[in-house]
Amino acid sequence: MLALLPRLRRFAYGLTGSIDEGDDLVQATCERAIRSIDTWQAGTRLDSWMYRIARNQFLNQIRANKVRGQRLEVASIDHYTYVDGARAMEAQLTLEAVRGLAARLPEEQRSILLLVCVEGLSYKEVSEVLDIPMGTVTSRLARARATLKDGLDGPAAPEEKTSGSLPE
Amino acid sequence: MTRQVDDETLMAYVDGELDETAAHAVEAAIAADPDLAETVRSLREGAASLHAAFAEPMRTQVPECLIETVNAGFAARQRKNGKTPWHGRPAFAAMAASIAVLILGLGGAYVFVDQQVEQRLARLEAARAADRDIIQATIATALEKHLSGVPAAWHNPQSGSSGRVEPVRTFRSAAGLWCREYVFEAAFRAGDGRNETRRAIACRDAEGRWRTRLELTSDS
Repeated sequence: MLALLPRLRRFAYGLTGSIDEGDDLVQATCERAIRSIDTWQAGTRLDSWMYRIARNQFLNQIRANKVRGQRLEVASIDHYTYVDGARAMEAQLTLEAVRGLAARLPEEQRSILLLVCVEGLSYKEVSEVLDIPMGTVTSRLARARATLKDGLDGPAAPEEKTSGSLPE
Repeated sequence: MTRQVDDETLMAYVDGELDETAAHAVEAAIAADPDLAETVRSLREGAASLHAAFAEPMRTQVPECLIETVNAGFAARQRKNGKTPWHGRPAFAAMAASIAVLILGLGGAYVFVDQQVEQRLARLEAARAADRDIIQATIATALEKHLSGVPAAWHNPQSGSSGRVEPVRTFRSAAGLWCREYVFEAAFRAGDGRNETRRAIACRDAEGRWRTRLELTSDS
């Protein structure tokens, strides 16, 4: 489990949009995993099982925050101000822009995008981690990628730094 | 010209989801259609920039408290099951003691080699210079020849240093030059054993040389 921590931290960073919030999520994930380690079937992939727990913990946090009238996702997104593609590159901010765009995706698309493109899981593994059919994995993945691409290549955004809206 | 391969198949190809036969078919179609090749390039670039965007936790130390959470969690479980954790066993204490003796012995031997320090410094400087040359050459090759998302590895047998250069994104500057953003990683073994990660932008000048314009460094 210790060997998985770096990758779990990366996944949690992608989900929450911040390293600190990500580490809190990893903490909760490990505690949860150790409590229910008996339900992990030896021989199956521990990493997939942990990703699944991390994602469920994240969903719980979002729900809890919604109940309290706050939205965690919005709070995370405020770290980013949207910068258009060309300006972003000149300022060496492509990766920042990618993080901003990823943060704006619906959670169900973001999880898939991270698991496939960053964590390197196969479509089948993702469908098992998230309990959704393969066809849903591919269609959501395609949508997420298109949004990302449009965001990076797309027409220059308005000059004013609007956070929270994507250029269509 | 109608496209031979649909977008979803291209995406599956880039993600390594196709079997060998299907992948070969896609490769043949890409070779014949620049439009498809461009889509594939763009998909790879997207994946590479995502990968780079969230790479930081892979390069930094895992916080102590997380390691502690895992260790303490398992230790508590084992106590409940009536087992002693491995670091509490007598065999471990004996092993730790013998390692300590070994380290002290090596420390004594080190004093005797001290006179060779001058020679070693000279070799070190030569190894560092060789590192720099190899790095320059690798960056030039990666920027000139590699698709975004395809890393170029480098290794200097003289120093043991190694690393990689991965173009992340390609674009035109306002002045019309081709520029590329890349990630540079190095594990230097000549001397202090420093690791370095840089994100940089280089642009290709009129003579075809790649000049680095902007650089962000994080040492560890």
